[in-house]
Parts: sequence; structure tokens; C-alpha cells
Amino acid sequence: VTAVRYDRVEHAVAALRAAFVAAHPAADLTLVERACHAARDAHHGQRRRNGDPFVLHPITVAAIVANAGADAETVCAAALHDVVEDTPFTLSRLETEFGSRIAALVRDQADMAAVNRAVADSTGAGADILLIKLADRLHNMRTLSPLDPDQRRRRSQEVIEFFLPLAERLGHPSIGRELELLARNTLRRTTSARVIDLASSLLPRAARHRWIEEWTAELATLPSRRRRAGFAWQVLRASPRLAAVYRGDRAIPRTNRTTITAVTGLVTALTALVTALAAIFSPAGPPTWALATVIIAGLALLAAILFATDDRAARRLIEMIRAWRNTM
Amino acid sequence: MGSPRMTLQTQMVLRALLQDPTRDCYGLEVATEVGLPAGTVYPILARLEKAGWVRSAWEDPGLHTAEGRPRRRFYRIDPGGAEEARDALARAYRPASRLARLQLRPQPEQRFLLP
Repeated sequence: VTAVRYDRVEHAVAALRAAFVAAHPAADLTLVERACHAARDAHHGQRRRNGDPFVLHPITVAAIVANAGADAETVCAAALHDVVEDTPFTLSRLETEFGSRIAALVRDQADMAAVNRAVADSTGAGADILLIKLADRLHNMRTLSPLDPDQRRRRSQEVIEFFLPLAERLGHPSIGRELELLARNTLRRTTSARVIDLASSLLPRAARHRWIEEWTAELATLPSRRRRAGFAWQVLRASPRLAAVYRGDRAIPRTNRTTITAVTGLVTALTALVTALAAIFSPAGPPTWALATVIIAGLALLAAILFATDDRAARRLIEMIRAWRNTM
Repeated sequence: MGSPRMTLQTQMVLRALLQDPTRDCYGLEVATEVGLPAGTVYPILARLEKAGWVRSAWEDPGLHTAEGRPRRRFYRIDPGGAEEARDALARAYRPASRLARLQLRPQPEQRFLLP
């Protein structure tokens, strides 16, 4: 069996097309197709921080914009919003090939002063610029995981303070809701979210962000804290086996199951420890549950180390601690 | 790359996905449907995807943005892999059920004799 390579860029373009057609059933797709083509050409070979082909970003932003009901030119400007800044594609070439309105939108959405003017007067062209900014931020929030925690918090804070009111004012409540969910998830940093981050550190770097995003999306729809904690526990159980899938192990031999249990226990213990330590050093002073957790987690750590009998576990532990240091 | 090992859980997941090959399911949904813990289902889905029997893709923006939640990852049977998956299911069915009659849990030696 050969694995079917699934072209993600192609899929993103198809999603954009579908979103545009849904909003404008009678409209001509030629301009949008041309913009996609130009964006793919211009960003060819570039990658995002999470390893994705860069062009997935502008194409997805364009799909969000199309989904919000924008016209073809705004959708095109969204698909091309990074070409002038990040590629040799010039503004004048944009103007000759796509017209002055698309060129002006691309220019203004990257210009702080123009954006501020649009915020002050969000009618006409101003609204289109702001919609591109909103969509840009939404996709960046969806793919926040490669950033360090400080940057994630800063972006989320900006979302709460600036982008949410903007989405409200521009009449895009669903974009606002998703932005809010993503931002609050980052700012709250629940134990469940931390567990997911830690669990995913066992996975190869290339696969990590996909699973973080997938699991975070599932987590976000669970109604109660208890269900979320249960889900995080399941993710913890899944990650060593998922890592085995990516390593290409056909089956996990029985002897390694102890190791897996040990590593899983270790991850749980570490997470509990981090949460408890955070509580102990909080300004309010140490609550008793936090102290108890430290003792229990310490014991669990000891047990995990004792149960891990082969050096693969040790190697994995080293890897994990490294990854954990990077994420903290 | 060989075909994935047809454990009972793998068979359950495959059967659920084959029931309606055109339907998109997210991981947690598959888990609820087959009654397995999510921690078991994700690695199975990943293994099936690696074998080319299942494909996964992000949810289209139209659906989730309307509900204002982050996009989900959807799984469905790959049209190219459906045939092979059905065959593997049919092949796996007999030995597994005979074994189940003989003993509730296969012993480790016998595990490796299974196709």
C-alpha cells in the first residue's frame, strides 16, 4: 500500500473556491483563481513556522474572508496579502495584474497608519481592510502553537482587547466567537491544555502542531471541566502510541508497554507538578492541594523512573524534558 | 509499507468509517460511535491514515466559523483504500472470531502468528 499524498494546498484552494461560490453563486471565479495561482507562485518554497507551506496561510485567510461574504477583489487581496511584504512581488506588478483596488487593499492592510484610519472610519474600503486583518489574525490564532508562551499570551491579549470589539463592530460575530475561544484557551492555560502540549511533545516535530490543533479543537467543544480532564488523559494515553506510528513501528512489543505506561505516568506527574508549583508560588500563597500534589507527583515520578527498564525510556525522557523546556 | 495490524479495535474503527464512506467524522465522534476511549482511537486513525485507507482534512471554514469554534480534523475512508480495507476486514473476521471462541485474550506468541 502506498500512502496517498494529500495535497493540502490544493485542498485549501478548493475550500476557498467553495466558500466564495457559496457567498456569490453567480460570480466569476477567474480573478480568485488567478490570485491563488499568483500567491502559490510567489510563496513557492516558503514555509511557516509550523512547517506548513507558507501559501496555506494566505489561502486560508482568503477563505475566511470569502466565507464572511466579501467580494472577489477583497478575497484576492486576502490571498495576496503577504506577497509584497515577503516575496519579490512588487506593488506595481500587483497593480498591473490585479488592478488598483486589490493593490491598494494589499498596501493598506500592511500599513499601520492606514489600518488606524480604517479603525476610525470603518466604512467602505476601511471595512475590507479590517476584514482582512481579522481573518489574518484568526488564522494566526489557529496556528499559534509554534510561538513561545509569552508571544501566545501577547497575541491573545491583543485579540481580546482589539480584535474582538472589531469583529463585533464589523458584524462578524462568528469570527469573533472563534477568536475569543482561541484567545481564552491560550490565556487560561488550563491543566488540560498543558497536558495536551506536553503529550504532543512526544510526537515528531512535523506532526506536533497538527495534533495540538486537532486536540485543542476537540477540547474546546467539551462542556465540562471533568470531560476536558478526561479527554486530556486520553490524549496522554494516545501520544506514545501515536509517536510509534510516526516512527514506523508496526506494533509495540509487550516489553515496551511498561515503558509506555511509565512515560505516560511521568508526563502526568510532570504536569501535575508544574500546575502545583505554579499554585504554590502564586501571590495568594500555597493552597494545601498543591502541596499534596507535589508529594504525590514526586512519588509518581519515582515510580515512573523505576518502572522504565530500558534505555529507550531514558532517551525519551531526555527528549521530553528538552521539549518541555522549550515550551515552558 | 504494509497494511495495518487488524486488531479488534482497528476493525471496529474501520467498520464504523465504512458504514458511510462519504461521511466526515472527527476523532472524538469516531470514539463515541465505536465506544472506545479516544486515546485508543487516535493512534488507530493515524495508522489507517498512514496506510492510505483513511484520509483526514481540516474542516471547511463554512461549517465551524458559523458555529464560532476552532476547526476540527475530519476523517473519512479514502476512496482508494476502501476496497483494501473491506478485504482486510473480511480476512480478519474469521481468525479473530475463532480465536475469541477459544480464549478471551490471544497469548503473545499467537499474536504474531495472526496475518
